Amino acid sequence: MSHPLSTHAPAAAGPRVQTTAVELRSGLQMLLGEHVRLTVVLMRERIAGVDERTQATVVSVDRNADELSAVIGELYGKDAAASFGQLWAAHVRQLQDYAAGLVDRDEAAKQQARSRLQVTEGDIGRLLSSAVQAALTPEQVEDAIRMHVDTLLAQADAYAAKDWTRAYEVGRECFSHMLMTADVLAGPIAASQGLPVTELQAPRRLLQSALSRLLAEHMGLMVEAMRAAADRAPELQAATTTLNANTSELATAMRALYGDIAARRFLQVWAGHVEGLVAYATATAGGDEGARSSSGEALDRFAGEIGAFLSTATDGRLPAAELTAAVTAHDRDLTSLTDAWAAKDFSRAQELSASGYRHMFTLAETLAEAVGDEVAAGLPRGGAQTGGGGTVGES
Amino acid sequence: MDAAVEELGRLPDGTVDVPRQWQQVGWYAEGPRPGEAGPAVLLGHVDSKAGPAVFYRLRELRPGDRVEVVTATGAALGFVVRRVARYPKDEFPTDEVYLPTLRREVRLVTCGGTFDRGSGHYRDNVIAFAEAA
Repeated sequence: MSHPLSTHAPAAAGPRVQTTAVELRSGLQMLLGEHVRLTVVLMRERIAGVDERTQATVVSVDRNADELSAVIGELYGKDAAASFGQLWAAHVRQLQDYAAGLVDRDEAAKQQARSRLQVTEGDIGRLLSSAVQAALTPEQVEDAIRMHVDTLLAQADAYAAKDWTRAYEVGRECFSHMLMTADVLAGPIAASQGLPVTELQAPRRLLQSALSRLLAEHMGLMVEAMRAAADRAPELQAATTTLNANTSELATAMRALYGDIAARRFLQVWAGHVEGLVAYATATAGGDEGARSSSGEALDRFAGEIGAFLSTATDGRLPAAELTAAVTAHDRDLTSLTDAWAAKDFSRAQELSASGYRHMFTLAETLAEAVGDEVAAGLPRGGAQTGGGGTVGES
Repeated sequence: MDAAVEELGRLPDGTVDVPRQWQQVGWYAEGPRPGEAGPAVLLGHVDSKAGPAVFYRLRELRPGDRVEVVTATGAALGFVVRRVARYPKDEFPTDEVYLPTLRREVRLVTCGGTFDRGSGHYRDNVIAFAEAA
């Protein structure tokens, strides 16, 4: 097995047999979250008419759908996988139909796509509800998928209206909602497989889940902001604002874990990391070799500082050198995919984007464990002596 | 019930300190404040030799009950009880109570179970877990 901080091996592994409820949740979060980020990109590319990238995006959307079906197959068998695969493909197709309706300003086509999406929502709701033996009602699953569809369509509407701020804000909501949905689904699915589910609520595993969302969202937004910078697109400001909101949430997590001073330090080094990456994309688009090189140096410096920060935060449980290497690998994913865009190698760009995104889930797991151990070492021991009289008399 | 809050730390043996007064609530000040992300831990005695203390009725809390913490600036922070459970002190769920989370939560801790006259302490703790309303 590869070291938990190594970059690509776990990410490339794709779906695998889920042996614990926590792994199942993490796998669902990864695949459903990826579905959101890819369909958001696909719909926006359709709307913006960026045809040259779209083929690679479609391949990724289909690959993600196949992996989701494979998970359903592992859990519930071939027939369930085939039914799910058909419904999911319809869901993706109908989302694209809606985007096409937006491009053509064809209200009837949009309405038709919306109606079909609603029918598919009901079908997926019934299928998954039956799979988890009604631990979730069809309506509960359908509601979750309806919210997913509504937010996806709302961000597409805003994008088509060039309301970038709203498009990015709603896009963020959509991602966050989908990871929450994965969380809601994980318990009943795990229970339907006879897996113990109490571990899902263990504080370290909740921390892992929260860090997964924040780090995966960071990766997705980073790709979007760098793409906007590379394209010199008018949405760059909205993309970086949304990215800053994610950074701020990560800093809030650091504050909860380590207090104000550490949170401020984290914010400083993380903001440097984000700015360095956007600067790299801008310099690449402008063919400015000097700026490319200086932003690359800045990225290496911030990778070292983030590595040192996290190593100190985990009291050396994770070595600074390995953390720095993990951040550097994350930077390389993003700078290489910018280079791949520039070289019009869009398949390569998609591969880097996917592996970088998946790596965030492994990193979240490793960090949650180390952070949990470090913080736990400083917590009060044992119970509290909060009684002195013996008057309660419970037995 | 309504009570003032004092700050608490850890004792030299690593256990959490407890309020000096029977009718006072203590806040574990090495953790988050109520209203910040993470579990703010509030401790109160269940009783004294003279009778009930500030958290005497904590065990009666039920999921859905509301808890309010009023800050120094007068802001009222609402929390909703999610569960109430009793644990032997030697199996105290340290992670569940103290380990940081990214949600705004409070834990209310007192004593319960049988009273050990030899040590002068209860054997269990009763803990209410609540989240921001």
